[in-house]
Amino acid sequence: MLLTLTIFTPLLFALICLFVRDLRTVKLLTLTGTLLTFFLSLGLILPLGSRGSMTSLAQECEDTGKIGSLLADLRGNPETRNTSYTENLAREVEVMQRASQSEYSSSLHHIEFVPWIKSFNVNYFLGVDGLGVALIVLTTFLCLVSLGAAWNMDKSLDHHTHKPKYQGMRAFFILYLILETGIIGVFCSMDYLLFYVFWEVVLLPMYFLVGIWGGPRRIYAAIKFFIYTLAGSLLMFIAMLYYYLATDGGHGGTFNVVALTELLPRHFALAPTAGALCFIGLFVAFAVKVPVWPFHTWLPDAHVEAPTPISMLLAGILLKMGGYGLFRFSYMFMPQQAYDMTTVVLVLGSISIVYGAYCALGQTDFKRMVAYSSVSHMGYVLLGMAAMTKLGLIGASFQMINHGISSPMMFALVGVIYERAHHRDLNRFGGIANQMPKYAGMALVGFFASIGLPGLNGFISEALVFFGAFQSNLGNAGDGAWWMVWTSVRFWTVICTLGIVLTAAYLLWGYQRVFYGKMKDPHYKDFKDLNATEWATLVPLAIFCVVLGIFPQLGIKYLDGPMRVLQNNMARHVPEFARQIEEDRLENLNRPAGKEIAMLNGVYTK
Amino acid sequence: MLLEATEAAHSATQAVLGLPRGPYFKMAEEIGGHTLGYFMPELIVCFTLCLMLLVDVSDKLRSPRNLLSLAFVGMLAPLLLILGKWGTALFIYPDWGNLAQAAHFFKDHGYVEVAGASMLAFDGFANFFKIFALASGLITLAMLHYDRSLPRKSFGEMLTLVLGSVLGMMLLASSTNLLMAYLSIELMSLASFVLVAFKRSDRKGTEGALKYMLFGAVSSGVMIYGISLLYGMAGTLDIALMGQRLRDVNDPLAIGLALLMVTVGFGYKMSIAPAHFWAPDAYEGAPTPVTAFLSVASKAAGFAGFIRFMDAMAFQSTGNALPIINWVSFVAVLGALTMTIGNLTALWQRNAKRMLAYSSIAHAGYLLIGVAAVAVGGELGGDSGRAIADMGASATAFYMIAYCIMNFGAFAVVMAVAHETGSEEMSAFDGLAKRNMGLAVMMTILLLSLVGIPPTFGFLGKMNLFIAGLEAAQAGYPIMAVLLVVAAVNTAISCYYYFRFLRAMFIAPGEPALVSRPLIVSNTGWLLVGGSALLTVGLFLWGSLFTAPTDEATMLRRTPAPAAAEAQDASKGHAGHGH
Repeated sequence: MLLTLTIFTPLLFALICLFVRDLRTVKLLTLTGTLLTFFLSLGLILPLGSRGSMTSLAQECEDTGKIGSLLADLRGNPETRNTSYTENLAREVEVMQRASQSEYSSSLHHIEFVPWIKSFNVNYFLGVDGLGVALIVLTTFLCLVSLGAAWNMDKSLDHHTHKPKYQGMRAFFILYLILETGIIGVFCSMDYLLFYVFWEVVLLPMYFLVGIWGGPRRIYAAIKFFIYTLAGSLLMFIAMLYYYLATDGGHGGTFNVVALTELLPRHFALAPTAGALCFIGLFVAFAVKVPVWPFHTWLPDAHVEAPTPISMLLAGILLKMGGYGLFRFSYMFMPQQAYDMTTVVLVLGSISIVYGAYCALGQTDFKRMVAYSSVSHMGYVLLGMAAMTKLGLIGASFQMINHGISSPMMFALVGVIYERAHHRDLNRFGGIANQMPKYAGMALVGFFASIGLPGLNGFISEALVFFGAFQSNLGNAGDGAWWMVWTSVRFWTVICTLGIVLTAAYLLWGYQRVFYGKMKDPHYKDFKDLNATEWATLVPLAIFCVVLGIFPQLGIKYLDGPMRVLQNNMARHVPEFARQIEEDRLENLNRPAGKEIAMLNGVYTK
Repeated sequence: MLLEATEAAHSATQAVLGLPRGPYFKMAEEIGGHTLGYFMPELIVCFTLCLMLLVDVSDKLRSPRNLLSLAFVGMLAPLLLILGKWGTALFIYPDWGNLAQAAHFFKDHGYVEVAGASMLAFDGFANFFKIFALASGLITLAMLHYDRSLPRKSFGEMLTLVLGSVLGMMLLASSTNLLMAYLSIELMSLASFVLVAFKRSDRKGTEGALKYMLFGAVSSGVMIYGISLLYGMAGTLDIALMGQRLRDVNDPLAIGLALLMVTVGFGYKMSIAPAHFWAPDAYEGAPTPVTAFLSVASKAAGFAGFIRFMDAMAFQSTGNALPIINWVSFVAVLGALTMTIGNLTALWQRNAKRMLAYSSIAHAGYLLIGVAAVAVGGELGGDSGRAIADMGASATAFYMIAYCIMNFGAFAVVMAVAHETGSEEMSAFDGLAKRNMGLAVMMTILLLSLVGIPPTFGFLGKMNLFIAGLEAAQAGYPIMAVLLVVAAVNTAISCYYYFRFLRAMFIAPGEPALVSRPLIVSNTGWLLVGGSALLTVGLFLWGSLFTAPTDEATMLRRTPAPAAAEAQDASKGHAGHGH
């Protein structure tokens, strides 16, 4: 029930807002709605902390008896006993019971299961594990915080005409709330069709939010964003229907994600070509969203044209939908194919890191620079994912959270200066630090979190990704011919370190151009320092940057479980991978310092 | 009416669930002489048509209101009649020999009534498309009522023509005889030629109608020539029997050519490439209600006729002769071509109606995915083939419902805008959101459905089609997979021009003078637009509602499959007698 509430609270408030004419009331309603959703989402964390009250899929099936009693009714009635619907349901329950013994399903919480479209075995099936909860909380948090950037949009005047720049702001807040509903739905749907529905629901509000309230090239950017994502998701759609048919045992297949995770690896062991095609389809769908080079070209346009709060949500959460999809679907459904394509994922991720950073270095538009930095930072997610070591995976998922905090902060910072200067040209700024010292101070936190300075959140996840990736023995790690070394994770990890250097370069150079040096325009003298709503936007983000940098365990403890499930799932279905993990474990134990370190760790933690 | 429909859907669901259909069963002999009852819906339409002509003569009675109510009753009554017969009526091909024996067979399979006729089938498939034609006719009535630009004086003629066209569609849906099919196509075509040119002073309309008629004349000429060739080879015009007899004819070139010619006739009605050239002009020139009617009902009837025809003619893998037409590749290529041409051409349109016309061509292409699955099923044969063919036919029927709702709705919006601005150009939509937010939001929902994005019914329809296509692809037809990828790419392309509406409505500033004036929509307008938009979302949430009836539509059509052994024996025996 809690999940349903969390998903639909924003929608409910959107509906209420439809009937309210006054903009101020709409704003307050939106604030109430996002605040309420945020608290509800915090409630999701609770059972994860206390394992006592957790309900697993199996318990849910048996205890609540929702399906069980329905099935008993159907079976008891001679008229419905032998119908295909009863058989479908029985099969669904059987698969779920079998699946519920798996680690995966016991990591799911807050399960809700209501049959929906019976003819296709589609269910309203919700559930979250640690990854889902982390992303949902991130979503509700960002939706709340970005509201600060949207709060005064109606008061902002056009630079030339001095008329209000943004009109129809009521619709803006309504769409904003619908967007939030869609995103939360994406992160907790455990039915693939339901997931797809929410996935698409996110697109349309985004189209309007960019297309109506965006910058000068907004129409181009909005439709480009839409078509790119739609083309990707259509590939996913075909793959999804293939899954449905592949699991068809005579009474229609299933869209149940837990059941698919059980059934599909076995199916694809017999149909490797179909598996490869499905993996590519799904990978492209999610890669567009992440975005991975070469599917990233929509991102700079959309991010630059979108208004500040929407850029924050785009960078903060929408990109994470892609990463989430890769973790939850691509790697769970098709572990063998994922293992086979390690090098492809790796190379694309590495190119994203280095190329994204290199492009950011070349930008003169402040916002465009930040947009390209997203391409670069999301590349680490792919690097960690391809490595498939424990540290790498945790780093990759944690990087999603951290980028979800630092990059919205960067966009908020850009918004602050753009609101005053009406341009974003890095070369025309300068000396802002004297004029706006508080702003410069906040910017310092954002920039350094992005660079990955120790003590701030970006450092932890990037370091974990690098450790994890360098540990990985996937690909040719020195035991094959030397010229095949380019297939190894280790090789690309080394290349990726270049990304760190470039990141530091463009961010520091950018900071220098904006805040230091001579003031290039006398108008800058009139700039006021941060106002209340800007503080309200930046401070929570800055606090999270610091807190997660010092106590990373706060985030990591939720990601640990799901990543272990992911790794074990691959080990279960890919024998080579299982062997490799075992070898690594032995090797680590036999390292001379291994035992001592373990002992020391034990001493210190006691 | 909604209650009735719900009830019917419910009983159909029961039927699908395998519940007993009824306590009684009539022997074929008992109803043998009285099959006229099955023809009652058509008779009522026919009767209303004649009555309408009479009423139209009287000055006292010929108010638009009277005429509309007459036409309304004349179509609603048969619709309810058919709904009442749902799941009970069945047709047996006449040449299957012993009717009583066959009746016993069907009794074992749970059918309640069995009737025989030689020209028309009264099976679930026909019933579905008849209901579809009648329902579209009823919506068209509402749209005609809403359209203020039509000359009220000649309302009677217009309604008579719509009724005539609906009658043709109903007959085409049940035709099991090529001559009957040909006559039905002519009936609906002739009526629609006049409908297109109804505004006599309108140059565009007359031009469209002329093109429509010339194309119609040519394609029906080609079709009748094809039919005569087939008759020469098979010695019968009965579709099912023809399909069986053609297996023994060893002349692939002639058969292929003849089949191609008949397909031209159906293809013209379905407006699939390359027989689509008439469509944009006719659709743009015709009064908007007529455009909607043609693009939905007439297309559906074409598909019904084509599916029945092709289903009987799909015998490549079993026959000793190998006709030059490979239905699967043929239909798949036509589908890919149709959707690509439709979508790519729509990209360049500036006129809203013309754009929707091209979009309707593209949708014919999507529908062909289902038809191609039927072809795959037919070629495979056996139970698995039957299952795929049924999936294809049911998906086509399902998508047809979705397409009907969203297309009528979209055209109604075009009408509402044209009423106020007097223009059907895209520019008339500029700033619509400021003039009437409700209308703009409804249009958005309908457009989403046309693209096939959830949460809309169009998405479920497309999903059905894709599932059928994938199932066919899995059965060893990679061309189906290619077709699906082409459809996916096309969907992404189509989003560009559908979104031009969104851009115009929500983003474009529009003329200040116009934008400040609210756009008023009458009650009928709201009923049409709001009803279709709400249905589009509602039927998505209640996704199972129409699955059962569309499945039912194909389940009854399945009759030859379980009876295959018996039927073939019977027919062979009979064919032997015949020659």
